[in-house]
Amino acid sequence: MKIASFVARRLVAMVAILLVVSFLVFCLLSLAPGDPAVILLGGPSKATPEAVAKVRAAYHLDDPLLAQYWYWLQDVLRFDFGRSIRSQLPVIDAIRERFPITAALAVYSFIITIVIAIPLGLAAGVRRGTRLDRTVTAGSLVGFAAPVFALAVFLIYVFAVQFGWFPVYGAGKGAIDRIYHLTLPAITLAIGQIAIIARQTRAATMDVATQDYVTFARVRAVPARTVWGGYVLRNAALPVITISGLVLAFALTGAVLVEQSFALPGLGTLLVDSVNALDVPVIQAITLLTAFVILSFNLIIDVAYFALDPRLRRGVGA
Amino acid sequence: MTTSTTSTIRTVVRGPALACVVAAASLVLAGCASGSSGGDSTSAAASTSASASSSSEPTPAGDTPIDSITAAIQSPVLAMDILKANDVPTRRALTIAYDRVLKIDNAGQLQPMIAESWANPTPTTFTYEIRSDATFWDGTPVTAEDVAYSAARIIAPDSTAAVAAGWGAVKSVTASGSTVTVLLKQPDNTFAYRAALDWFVVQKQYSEAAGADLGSPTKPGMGSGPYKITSYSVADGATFDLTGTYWGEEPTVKQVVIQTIPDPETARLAMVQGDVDVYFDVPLAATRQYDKAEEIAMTYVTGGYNDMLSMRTTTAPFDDVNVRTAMAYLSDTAGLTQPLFNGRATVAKSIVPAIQISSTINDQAKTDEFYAGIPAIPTFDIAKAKEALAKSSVAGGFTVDLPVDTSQPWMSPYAQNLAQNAKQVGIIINVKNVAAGDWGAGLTDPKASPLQLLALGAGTPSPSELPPIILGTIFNPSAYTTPALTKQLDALAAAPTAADTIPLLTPVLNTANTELPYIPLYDEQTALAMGKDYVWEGGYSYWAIGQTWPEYIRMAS
Repeated sequence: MKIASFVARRLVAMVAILLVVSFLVFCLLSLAPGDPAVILLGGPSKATPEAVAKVRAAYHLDDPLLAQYWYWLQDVLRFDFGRSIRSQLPVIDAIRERFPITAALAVYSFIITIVIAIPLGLAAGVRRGTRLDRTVTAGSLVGFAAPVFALAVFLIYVFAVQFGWFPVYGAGKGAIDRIYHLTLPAITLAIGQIAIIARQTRAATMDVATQDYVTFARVRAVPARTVWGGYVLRNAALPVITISGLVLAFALTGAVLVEQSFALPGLGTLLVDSVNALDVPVIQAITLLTAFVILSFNLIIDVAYFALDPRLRRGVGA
Repeated sequence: MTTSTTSTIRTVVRGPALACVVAAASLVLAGCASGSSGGDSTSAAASTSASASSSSEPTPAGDTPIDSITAAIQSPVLAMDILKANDVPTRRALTIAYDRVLKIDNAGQLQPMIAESWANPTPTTFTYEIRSDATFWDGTPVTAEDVAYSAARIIAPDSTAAVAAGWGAVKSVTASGSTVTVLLKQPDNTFAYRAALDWFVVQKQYSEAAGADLGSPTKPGMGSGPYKITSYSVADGATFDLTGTYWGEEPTVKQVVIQTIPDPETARLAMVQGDVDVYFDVPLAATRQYDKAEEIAMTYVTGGYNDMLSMRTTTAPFDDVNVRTAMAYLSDTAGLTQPLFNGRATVAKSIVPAIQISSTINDQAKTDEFYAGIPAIPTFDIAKAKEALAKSSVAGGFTVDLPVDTSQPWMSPYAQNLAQNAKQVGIIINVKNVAAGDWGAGLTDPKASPLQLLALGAGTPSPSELPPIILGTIFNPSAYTTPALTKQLDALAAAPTAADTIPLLTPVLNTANTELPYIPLYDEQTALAMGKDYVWEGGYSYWAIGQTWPEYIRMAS
C-alpha cells in the first residue's frame, strides 16, 4: 500500500515534469536561430516574404509563444502530435515507424551488455588485483574510449565485408531478419555500455565483498553460489541497477552515431534530422518521449530497489 | 537483386549530410551535405571538360533485363508528393514514379514527356498538348485536367509547398480539351524548366480523395510513370516495380529499391559488399576512398553548386571595394581544390553556376568566349592583397568573424586557410564553427558577421535564376545594389528564354566580378558511384535530378 502510494506520487510528479520539459523545449526552440518557415521553403534564397507568411500562418508561427504551446498541448492531450514541418506527414507515424527499431536495438544491446558486463565486473571485483581484474579494467577503459563511429566501421569491415557474416546496413524486416541486421549495431552500442556497467559492478562488488557478513558467510562454509549470488550480487545490485537503467534509457532514446553508421532509421537519426530542419513538432514529440522513457526507468529502478532491499520498503512511509 | 540473366545487383543512393539538402528544382541554399548534388555528364563533359571517370568505362550490354537494383541516398524520401518535399533525395524517388509534363536531357534541353508538344507563343503564355496514350497505374487515361490540376495545387493560395517558390510568376493554369495553358504574370524564362523539374503529374481523383495524406506511406499517390510504388515508408525506403503498361519505352530495370544510408563510408562498404548498386551524390570529401575501391566506378560531372565568399557591402570595411579585392587576392581557391574536394571542383569564374551557362550556350567554344568577355576574378597573391588593402581606409588590417557551417565539410578548412593568409596582411579572421541553422540564420541577419560563406545550387538551366536573387531584394547577403545594376537585373529576369539571357548576363557579371560583393570560389562537381556491373548509358548528368533515371541503367558488358 505504501509502495502504491509512492508510485502514485511519482506518477503525478512525472506528469508535472513532462509538462515542464515540454514547455522548456518549446521555449528553447523558439530562441534557436533560423526560421522553420524559411527552412521548409528551401532556404533564404527561395523564401519570398509572401511564401514565408503563408507557412508561418499555416503553422501558427506568428502567434504568441504561449498560444502556440497551448495549441500543441491541446493536440497532445488528444494524442495528436501534429504534422512534421519537414515532410508534412503526421509526427505520430514517424515515431511509430522508428521507435520499434530503436527499441529493438536498445534491448538487444542491453541484453548483450548485462550478460557480459555483470559477470565480468563481479569476477573482477571479487578477484581484485589479479590479472583478470587488470584485464577487465583495461578492457573497460578501451571500450569506453573507443569512438563509436570508428568501432562501427571496423566491425562492418571485418564482420560484414571480410567475413560476410552480417549485413552492412539496414534494420531488416521480421523478427529473425531484424536480429540478424541488428547484431553488429547492438555489439557496437554494447561495447561502451559494457565498459560502464562492468566498472560499476566491479566497484560495487569490491565494496560488498569486504563486508563482515560476507566474511562470516564464507567462514560458515555457506556455498559459494549463495555467497556470491545471494549476498554479494544482491547487495551490490543497487548501484548496478541504477546505472543499467540509465544506460537502457539512453539507448532507447536514440543511439545516434550507431544508427547513422549502420543506416538504421531510428529515433536518433530522426531527431538529428529534425533539429537540423528546426522541425519543432517532431523535436517536441521525441523530447517528450525521451523524458517519458527516462522518468519511467527511474521509477522502475526505484521500485526495483524496494524489491531488492527490505530496508527501503520499511522507509517508504516514513 | 538479380538480373534475369544471372548476376546479383543492388543499388543505393545517399543524403547530409545532414541531410543535406538542396532543392533540386529551384535555387537552394546548400545547407546540407558537402554540397554535391546532381550533375550533367554528357553536356558537362562536352562543355566544361569537367566530366571524368576514375576507372575504365565499361560499355552497356544492350537491353539485357535487370531484375532489380538497389540505390542509396543520404537522407530519406520524405514524401511521395513534390508539394510536401522538394529535396534532391526525395526527387530521386519521385522521378521514378511520376511523369513530368516535359523532361530534361543531359544537355539541359527540354524534351516531350506527358506533353507531346509545347509552345511559348508569347513571353507570358505556355501551351502544352497532352498526349492521348498515357495512362495512370489504375488504367485510367491521363487527361489535360489531371495535368492542370497537378500544377494548380502548387500555386493554390493556401499552398505552403517549397516548390511553389519557382512558380511565383504563374497567374493561371487551365485545361481545354487536350491542351493545358499556363499564363504568367510577367515573363519568366525559368518557368519553361518547371514543367520538367517540378510539374509532376498526379491523378486528380486519387489526390483529392487522399487529401492531406497524399504522398504518405498509406496514400503515396497515383502516377503515370513507368514504375508504380510497391512499398514506401520514410524509414525503410521505397520499392518500385515496372507497371508493364507504360506509354513510353520501358526501362530494362524491372525493380528499383531506394534505401537511405546517411554515412558515405557505410554506403561505400555496402557497395563493395554488393548490397548497393548505385549511390547518388557522394560527398566529394568522401570520394577518395571510393576512387580506390575496385568494385565501384565513379563518375564526376559538372555539378550545380556554386560556392562563394560574401561580404556585406554596407558594413565597413567591406563597403570599400579595395578591401573586397584584397579578400579575393587572399583566397587560395585553386590551391585548395584538391584538399577540399579531392580535386573534384573547378575555380568559379562568376556567381552563376557554370552548368547554367554551359547548358544554355551548349557550345564549348562559345562558352569560353563568354567567359573571356567578363573580368577575371583576382587570384591568390599576398603581395597584391597587401597592395589593394593599402589603398583602403584599413591599410593596417582589421578583425572580422567568419561563421562556417560544420555540416559543409569544405567551409571550415577553407576559412582556416583564408585566415592564415589574411594574417599576413594584418587582417584577423576569427573562424567560428556553427550549426547549419545558425549559419543559415546569419546569412540574412544584419547583426551577424558581414563576412559569410555561401553555397548555392542551380535549380534550372537558366543563368538568370541566381543574379536577380543574390543581387536583388529576395536574398542578398552582400546588400550590394546600384540603380544601374537593378535595371540590368530586371532585364535579365524578364528575358523571354534562357538563350536570351546570355547577352543580358554579361553586364551583370562585369559589375559583379569588378565590384566583388561576392567572391566566386568553386563550381563543385557531382559524384555518382555505381557498381561495376552497371553503366549509366549516355553518360551521367547533373540534370538526372529531373530524369527517370533507371531508364539509363544498363548491364555492363
